[in-house]
Amino acid sequence: MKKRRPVVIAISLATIACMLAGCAKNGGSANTTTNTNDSEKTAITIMQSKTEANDGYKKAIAAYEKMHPGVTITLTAISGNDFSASLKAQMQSNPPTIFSCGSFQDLKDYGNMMADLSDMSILKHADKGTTDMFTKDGKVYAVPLYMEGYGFVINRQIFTDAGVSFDSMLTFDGMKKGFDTLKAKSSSGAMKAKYPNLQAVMEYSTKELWIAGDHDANVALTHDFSTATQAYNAKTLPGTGFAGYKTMVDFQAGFTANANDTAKLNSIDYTSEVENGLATERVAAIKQGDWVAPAVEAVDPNVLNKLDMLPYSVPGYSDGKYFTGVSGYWAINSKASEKQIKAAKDFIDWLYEDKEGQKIVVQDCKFIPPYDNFEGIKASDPLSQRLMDAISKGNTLNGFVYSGAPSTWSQQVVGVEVQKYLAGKETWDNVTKNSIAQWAELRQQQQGQ
Amino acid sequence: MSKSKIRFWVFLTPALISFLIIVLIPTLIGFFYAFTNWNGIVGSNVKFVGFQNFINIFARDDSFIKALEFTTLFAVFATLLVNITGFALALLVTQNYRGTTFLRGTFFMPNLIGGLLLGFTWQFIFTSVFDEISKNTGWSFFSGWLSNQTTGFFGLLILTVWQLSGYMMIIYIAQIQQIPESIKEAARIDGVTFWSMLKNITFPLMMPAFTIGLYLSISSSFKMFDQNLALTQGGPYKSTEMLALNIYNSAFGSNDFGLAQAKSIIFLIIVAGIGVTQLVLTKRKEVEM
Amino acid sequence: MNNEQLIHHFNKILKGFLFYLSGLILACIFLFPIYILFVNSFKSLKAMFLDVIGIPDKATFTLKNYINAFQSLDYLHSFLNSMIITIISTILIVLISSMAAWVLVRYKTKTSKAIFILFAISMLIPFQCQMLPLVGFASRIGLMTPAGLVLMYMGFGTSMTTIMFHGFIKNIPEELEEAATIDGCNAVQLFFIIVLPLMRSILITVAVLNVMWIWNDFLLPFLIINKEGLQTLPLKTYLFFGQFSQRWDLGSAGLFMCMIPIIIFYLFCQKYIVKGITDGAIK
Repeated sequence: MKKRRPVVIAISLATIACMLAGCAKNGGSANTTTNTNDSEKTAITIMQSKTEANDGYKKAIAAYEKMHPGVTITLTAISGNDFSASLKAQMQSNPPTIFSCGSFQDLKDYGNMMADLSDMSILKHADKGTTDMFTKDGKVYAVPLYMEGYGFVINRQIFTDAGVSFDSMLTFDGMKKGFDTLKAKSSSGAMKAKYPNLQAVMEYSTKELWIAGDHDANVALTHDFSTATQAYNAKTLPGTGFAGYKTMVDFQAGFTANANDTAKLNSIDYTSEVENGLATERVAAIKQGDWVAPAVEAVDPNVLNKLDMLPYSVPGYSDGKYFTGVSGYWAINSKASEKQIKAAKDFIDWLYEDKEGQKIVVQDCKFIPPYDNFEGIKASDPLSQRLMDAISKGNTLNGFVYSGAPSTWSQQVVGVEVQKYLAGKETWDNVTKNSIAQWAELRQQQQGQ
Repeated sequence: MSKSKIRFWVFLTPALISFLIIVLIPTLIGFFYAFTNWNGIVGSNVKFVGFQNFINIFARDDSFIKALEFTTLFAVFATLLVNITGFALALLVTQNYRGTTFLRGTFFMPNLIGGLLLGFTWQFIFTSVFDEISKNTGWSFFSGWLSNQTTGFFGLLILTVWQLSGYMMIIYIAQIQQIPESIKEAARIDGVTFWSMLKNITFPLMMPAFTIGLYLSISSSFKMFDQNLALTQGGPYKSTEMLALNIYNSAFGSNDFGLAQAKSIIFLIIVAGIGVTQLVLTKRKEVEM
Repeated sequence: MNNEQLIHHFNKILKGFLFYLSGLILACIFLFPIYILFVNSFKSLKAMFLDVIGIPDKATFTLKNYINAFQSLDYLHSFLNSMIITIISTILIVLISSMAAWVLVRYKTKTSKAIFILFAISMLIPFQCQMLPLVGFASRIGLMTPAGLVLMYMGFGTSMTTIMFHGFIKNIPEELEEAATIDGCNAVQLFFIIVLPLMRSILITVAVLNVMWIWNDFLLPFLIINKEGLQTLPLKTYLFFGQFSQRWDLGSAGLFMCMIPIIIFYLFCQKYIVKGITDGAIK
């Protein structure tokens, strides 16, 4: 036993050394797969940030590969939170052919690796303004994938049972009245029989900085800027929308179970708001967008069918309007081979122009496409449908102006300020003052980057 | 003389080379970029900015200092609690009773879940589970966890003690088992009490394990990232942001990679100072047999 | 005499009682989160949120999560990936670290002290500051592969492991090695035949610790081998926790399936951590 040990070790070492040598040889060539290809098959890779849509994409890829046997597409999904870190690492080692992007920072970081997509046929159908973010010198460098929109997602059935109709809540005053009615009915116990789980009218999970900031802040920003580019070029922020911002923060907090101790809202996370809130009928309304549909469906598909979306009505400003915009784009790696770039362009064109691809986009990926050639295809959930209707009627305001704000402003500055306000640690005047000051400060700091 | 020198280098080289390639060189590259306006991509053109990044760490805002305070406080508490708990567990589990194997496994279980996923699990517990407990029992102690700095701090502490005690326990067990039974027998025959044996025999002979245990706890508490991110995201209002998260946010939030690298250097200097001091102090106390 | 025996007996029973009581309470506390994960992995998302703590009854009990998670994780394939990387990395780390620690202890030169301190300090470097330079550097020398990943684990693992061995090797008396050298042992024989067997409990302990962190490691595989077919188990499990939907039903089942191999491995190793080895050696 003791004598055999060194022999065993020696053999293991030798085996391992051989394996490593073999792997290293193969590994060395892995770096260049993006740029080489055999004359028969073209291989492209996609690195995308919407994990909820991944199954939809997989279906599309399977269908496309069947029709185009000369192309193989490999898909990788990274959750939005880690996407930028992961992409940065990937870009240095094995750049993907197609990658998700969505901000001015992306254009700055990877602009020299984005191929010119101006000749893609799908872009002829793009809704006005949807390609602006990634247009430089008249050329388009990324293709918009989906629009998102937000307002007040409500459980229509609960309100109906409380005697409040959907149409009565399309303005701020109407919404407030309707919410008050439900609140009264709920406290009196009238809703207990049908909705034993109902705890409050709303949930407001300000633990997540993007819920405390981002979208609510966006509404404030639209008072001063009408597009993200305008915001991006602004060195200072007038901040005229912050009074309305306060109204909406107070409105939401006031209808939660923690209305009397709003500091507690800072510990409520997104899961509690959607999966353990709206989807379990513990609350009847949340301020969110169409992206919550997959999560609600996973918990209770019946509840998803009861959902609808009210407009984001800031009193006297945006009554009856929804906030929408493009939030996801795909860019194609300009350093990939010509064949790969062409294959990538063809795939995307197919996805958004072919009837089968279009169906997958709307019903499996659950997207709202920013294109005008999608007539007749119905959305797969009531939230997307409501938004599509609003968009076609022009009943919307720009929901993504905030992406033009200085980096980290909409969450680390405004989101943090709102958290402090709710915890009673700061007055709203200071929230406004600090947000305006930080905008100018950050803008100056980031000028040199 | 040269024969033994060859032996020294032959045995040391494999470890040294992997260390060099994987740890040393990237760190030095990182040091270089701390003096530039780096954008995160190695090899891209950068502008040399001297010590500007270092000045910015303290000049722009106090987030780094706040993170330093919070992290240091956390590290002190965590190190003490983890090692006391780990040592106590190790003692408990090396007694001569049935069921120690089961207990060892139980206490080591927390390590079976990795950092990020562990953070998610505990976040789930502190919010959903605690809320349900407080609803069922009416104890308000259990509601609102992670909504302010205090509960955030203790939440992180509980998670860390839970996760690391088992780890320390294993190290201490290995060392306890190395104490020759003969010494213990001799002491027992001489009639020493449990506490006296603990103080005069077990404790001093455990110093090598304490050196490592303390060092590991201090370093992992200071470097904590995954659990911080998953449990509190540094909130509310950045009150529980630890150093590693602060650096990460500078890099991937603000896109200021040069600043992040500069912060890392300062971080390293501070923690190295503490860690090396501890190592030197405890190594001196080690009793060599 | 009878009284003395009685008191002694009573003390023993009391000690035993205290032992089992504290053991029980501690076990409950330590197992609580795992209990939560376990219990909820058999419930649907809706049932989970309605009752987070309770054991699922006949109506809510479901195996759906495990079946779906098994498929989503591509379990067998990912398990194999995790296992190969973990095993190879651990063996190599333990090997080269024990070798390095041995000479660092036996040769009390300035160089060896400096290297020890270098290793120690490197454990304090936050990974965030090495991450991008490492990826940039590694991609230029062809290390973005499973083999490269193993090398990276070796690089990161040796510092901690070497330091762990350092302290324990000090407790092995040098007289032993001197005696063996006089008997005609060369360095290799000395190390592999005399020293390593004496370190058995530490070797296994250290191997277990390394297996733990490598198996569960997320960030390195995420950056290096995050491609279909190469992914490790934790990497795939993370996909359940997206930005806008946290699938705790699938996630808890997935986490459990990640843990089971490690639990088995640990139980297996427990038997081999033997007590009192150096006893015999001193004689």
